[in-house]
Amino acid sequence: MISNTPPSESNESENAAPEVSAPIARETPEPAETRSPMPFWLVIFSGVIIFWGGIYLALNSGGFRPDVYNPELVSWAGGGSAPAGPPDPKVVGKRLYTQNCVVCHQTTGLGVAGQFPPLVGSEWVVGGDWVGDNHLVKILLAGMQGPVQVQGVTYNNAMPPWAQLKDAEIASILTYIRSEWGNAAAPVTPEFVATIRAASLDRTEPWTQKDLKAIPAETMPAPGAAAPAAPAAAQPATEAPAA
Amino acid sequence: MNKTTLLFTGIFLTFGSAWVGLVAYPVANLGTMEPLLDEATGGLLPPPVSGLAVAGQRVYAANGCVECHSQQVRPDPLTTDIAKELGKRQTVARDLLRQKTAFPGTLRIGQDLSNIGARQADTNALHLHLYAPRSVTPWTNMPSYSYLYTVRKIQGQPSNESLVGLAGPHAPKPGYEVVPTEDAKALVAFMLSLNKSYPLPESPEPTAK
Amino acid sequence: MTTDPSSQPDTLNAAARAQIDASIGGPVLLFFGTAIFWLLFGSALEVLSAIKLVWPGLLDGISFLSYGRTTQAATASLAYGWATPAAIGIGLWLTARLCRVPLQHHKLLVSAGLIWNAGVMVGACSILAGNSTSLPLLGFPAYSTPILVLAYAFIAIWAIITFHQRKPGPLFVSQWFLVAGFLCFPWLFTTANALLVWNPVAAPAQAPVAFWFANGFFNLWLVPIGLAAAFYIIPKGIDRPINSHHLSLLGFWTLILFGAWTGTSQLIGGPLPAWLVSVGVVASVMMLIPAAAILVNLHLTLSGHYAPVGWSPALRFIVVGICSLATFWITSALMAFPSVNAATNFSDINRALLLLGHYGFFAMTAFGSIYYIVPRLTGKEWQCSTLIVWHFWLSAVGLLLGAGGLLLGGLIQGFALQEVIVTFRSSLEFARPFRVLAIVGSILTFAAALSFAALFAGILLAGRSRKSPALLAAREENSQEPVAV
Repeated sequence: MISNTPPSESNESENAAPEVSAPIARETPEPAETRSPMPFWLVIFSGVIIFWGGIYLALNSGGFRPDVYNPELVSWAGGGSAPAGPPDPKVVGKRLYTQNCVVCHQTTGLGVAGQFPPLVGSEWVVGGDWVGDNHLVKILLAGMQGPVQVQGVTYNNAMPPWAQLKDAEIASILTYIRSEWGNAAAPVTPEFVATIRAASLDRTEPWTQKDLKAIPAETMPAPGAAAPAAPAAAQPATEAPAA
Repeated sequence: MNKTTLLFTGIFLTFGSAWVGLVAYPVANLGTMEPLLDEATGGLLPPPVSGLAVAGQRVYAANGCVECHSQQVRPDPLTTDIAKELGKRQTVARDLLRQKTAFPGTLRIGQDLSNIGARQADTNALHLHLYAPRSVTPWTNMPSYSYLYTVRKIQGQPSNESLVGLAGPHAPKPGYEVVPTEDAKALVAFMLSLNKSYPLPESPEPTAK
Repeated sequence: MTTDPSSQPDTLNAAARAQIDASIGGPVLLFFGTAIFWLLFGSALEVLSAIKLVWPGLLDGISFLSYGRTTQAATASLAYGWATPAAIGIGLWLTARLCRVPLQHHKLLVSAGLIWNAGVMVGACSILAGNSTSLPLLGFPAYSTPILVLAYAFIAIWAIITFHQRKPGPLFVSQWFLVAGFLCFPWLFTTANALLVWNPVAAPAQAPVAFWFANGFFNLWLVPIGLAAAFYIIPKGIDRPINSHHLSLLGFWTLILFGAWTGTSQLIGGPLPAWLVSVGVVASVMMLIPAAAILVNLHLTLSGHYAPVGWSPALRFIVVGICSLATFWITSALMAFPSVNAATNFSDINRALLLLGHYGFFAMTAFGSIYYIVPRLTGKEWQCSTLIVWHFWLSAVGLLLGAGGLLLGGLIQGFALQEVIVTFRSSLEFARPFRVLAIVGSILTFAAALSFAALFAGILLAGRSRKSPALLAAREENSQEPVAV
């Protein structure tokens, strides 16, 4: 029976008051607390833990800096390790390759049989026959389509253009693939990429093997060569859209 | 100040201290992080990801992938995550900038996925693993996400999105193909975007010993 | 041992108690009844999830039954459908008793209970349908959590009114815990939802907030309510005062201070600045202080009077709950050391700890509290002693097999995950037998939930024919202990 009467402290039960059931009747008085002292060992225990906590925090917080994620790398003096000197293009190239190229050409550079051509030992990468350094850069800038022969095997797929990458990025990727997996060809410089990019601005369609074959091969100038315009001087023909 | 006010104020201040440290500070500091400029190439670190990958994060959350998979590479030498090639370096807060939700995870019933895009870059293989995990890895505990795929009659040519390599009981009937739904495509795009190969100054790669 | 003159005397005689209990009976029983429904639902999903972990081919390829969704739905329905309403029901009754005023505003609480359950229903179905947020203990999607916030607002309004109307006098330790719990839960819940679900902050900031919430949900909501019940029912059950006011103070304040900071100790080596992680590690180890204070306080209270734990269901469940809490905090402290954590993080130990905390402590304490409270609300006795005995042993053995098995298996699995030469496949094979044990444990806890549901139905439907309380065992003839439960 639910009563809405105001709280009552009287011992007699009102007419509207609910009956006292057996479970309530056998309850003991409401609980209280005594003021016994804390066991001494507990105080010592708490003190020891707090002391340990303070030391741990001092040693392992990396100076409370927001950019320190691994306190073992940073001394309490707060110095972090900062890379010095220009980054190795091969390292940068490997990173960019892993981000952009492994989807098709795989981390092993072996591609996927029947689908994506390998880069290992590929004449497109290290040069051979009629393939020059300029062809490789052009492929990266505009992409490739149609049947392509790599080491005697024909692939027919589409490679997207990567013109949105900067010259330095393309150069580092090419440097990487030309020196990895047993390939041994000269590193590609950003200046060379810039030259080829400037010379192929009119090409928006992905290249076919036939189109590229129509373009004479250019070798990159040796490091320390006089002018970046040297390749252009050696080649009389400009690119013409292939039939 | 009576006892009640003391109690309320005390709880407010003590609990509030943790709120300041674990909520207010991270939101103000980590929540306003910006990508860094990569001096070597002029690009952004971390690099932007495709819209499909961002959509895939919702699919990842919807299917509770975080219940089995973690997404944090812990540092060398404290742990062996790097030695086990789960990543090249520790995952840090900036790595999460391109995600809408953080999925650090608390269990490794399945593999850590921080760098799955670097380890397994083949779209078809990822789809196969989602559609019929035990056809790829017979000993795995992973459930099948075949409900994210459609089995349909081949119209003319097989679609270039259809799964290749299904065999045995998982293969569709002759004349049928298995194609991923938009959710499956988004999920795989998200997994491919999980690739922390770029460097960050606050997370140096451990030097070779 | 002097009695503290400021924390008694008993102004609450039996008639006043009866009036209070009668006024609050309806809403509290509503919360308990719906909580038991969700306990059954969540426990059943737990069994399914545990089986699917070892035999993934079972019911495979069905979207709403896939492991990720069922395990999240199980955790969410147990946390918000069973644990929170049980905590609310216990908290409401304790507030009314300790404030010594009968309940006003009945309808407010009943509405709150119904709205809350509607919210949980929407949330749990949403998770199974594929709308989970995948945040730890925060899986309900954005459209369902405002329903829960609304329901809680009603409860908060009631609690403030009742507290304001209370009889003047000092606050008993249970009241401190109740105030802490009722204050911290909405703070945790609304902040976490606002920052992670309704209008998410950038992902780099989300991990600390998410783990602050998940740990706070246990340490600052379930634990305070459970302890409030323990600190009330234990002294009443044995007719002795709580041993030490000072230990109560120490335990309370260190719980509130350190309990909220422990979250980041589960992110050692994770994408967080090192100092945030270190603070979490230190806080987890500091939790040994409230663990010791509470354990010692209650032990000294019970000391020499442990006999009733043998025959009183309420006392036995609560004592097991307190022991589980201490085990949970000690294990968490050990797991917080980075060198240990490197091996144990990401292993089944995390699952064991969730079980130990939410089931071992809170569910057991809630069972004990419900065993104490419901006869006083209905005026009837629990109907079947044998079934209570079954309930106890099924839940205790289920907890042992589940938490113990996963703890041991997790340790082995963790070391396998850490060893470079051991393959991932091997770690799965090491964990497998212990996961099978966990399946058995989950089946036993489900059976325990079934027996508890049967007992609850029994006491609601029974007449008043039974005169003596249902006990776990016969009380000795010459025992000095009162039968106060």
